[in-house]
Amino acid sequence: MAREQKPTGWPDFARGVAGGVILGLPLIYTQEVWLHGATLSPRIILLLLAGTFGLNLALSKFVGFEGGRTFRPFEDATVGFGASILMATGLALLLRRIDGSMSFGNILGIISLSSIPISLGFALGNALAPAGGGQGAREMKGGAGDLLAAAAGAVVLSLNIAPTEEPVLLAYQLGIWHLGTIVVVSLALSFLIVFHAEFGDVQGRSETPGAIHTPGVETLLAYLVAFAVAGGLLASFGEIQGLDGPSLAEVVVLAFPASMGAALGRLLV
Amino acid sequence: MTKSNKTKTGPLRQRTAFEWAILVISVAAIATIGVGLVLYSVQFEKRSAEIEISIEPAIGENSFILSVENRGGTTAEDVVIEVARGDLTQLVEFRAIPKAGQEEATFYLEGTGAPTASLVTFKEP
Repeated sequence: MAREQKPTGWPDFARGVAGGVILGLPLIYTQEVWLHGATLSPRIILLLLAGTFGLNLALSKFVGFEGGRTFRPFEDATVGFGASILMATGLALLLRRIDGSMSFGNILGIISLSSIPISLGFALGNALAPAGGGQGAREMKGGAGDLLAAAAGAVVLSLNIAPTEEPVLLAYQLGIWHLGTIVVVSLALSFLIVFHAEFGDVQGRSETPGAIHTPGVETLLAYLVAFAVAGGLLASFGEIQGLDGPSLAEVVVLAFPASMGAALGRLLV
Repeated sequence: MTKSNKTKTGPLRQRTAFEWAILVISVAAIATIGVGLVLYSVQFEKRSAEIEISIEPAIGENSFILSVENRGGTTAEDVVIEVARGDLTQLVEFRAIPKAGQEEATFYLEGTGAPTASLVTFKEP
């Protein structure tokens, strides 16, 4: 007997958004993407996009949205790819990698290159964190376990960015409003990934008693952990010397990918 | 002959408003990028790099901002500009100036009079 098909909803879509942000952010923090997005021939970029769409199509056959529609893999790949373009646009604007002074073609190039890893992350969102948590997750439940997982995830995602020039460069180029928006987006996306994207033990997490398991408090604490990890890594690599404004800006910039790693880490427990 | 009203995973169902909305928005985003890149390719790709140089005073004595604009349709790589002030000269290098893009660099050059700049070399990919 065929199972009843439920429609694709916001939690399914949010799962894709989460996967896209987690896998796409490290590349968004890469100067070569900013440069090659503007310098590569549009034909080469179109070829890269076509190849990526093919890969998305193949992935969507296995880990797409809910079934019950004609051309489901094609539709899922289209939605994933389109959403990734919009997400890449948002992230590029947030980090001021595109603005009105640039030529339209160069803006399209930067958005296109950035959307490639995001779209693959979108398609893989389903497989990133298994429902019910990973193996051994039960032993790590509780406030300290969650924060430990957050710290581990933050290190994993920010360690390959911390020693590079990009956090310093971005911090230098971003104003107070952009930095404030990055903090708000870091918190909002963490909240969305952990409590609204339907993967991991989302139901159990929302219902776990205790002050730290209030969604707002947990999100804030996990962000503070990510912030501390980002500051620690930047200090370890000699990128920040003290508690001045520029150093704080660098930590805010690196805390963005770190907080996404912290969210992923919490999903695995 | 009638087509079976089923998919491999079960019976067909109507798309919800949410599914239609994300599908339409996604198609629009893909079309914008695709059409934009094709148009940009047709319009600019065959034009070679066209470098224009300008110099403005920067904050601080003997400091200047060198602006290099590429008005062509091809990226200029390994761009080398010679700036001169009186008898003194200096080379300023840029890794790449994107097609229809602009890059800036600040340089310090002692001497008298207004500085001048000339293009030494660049490569096209």
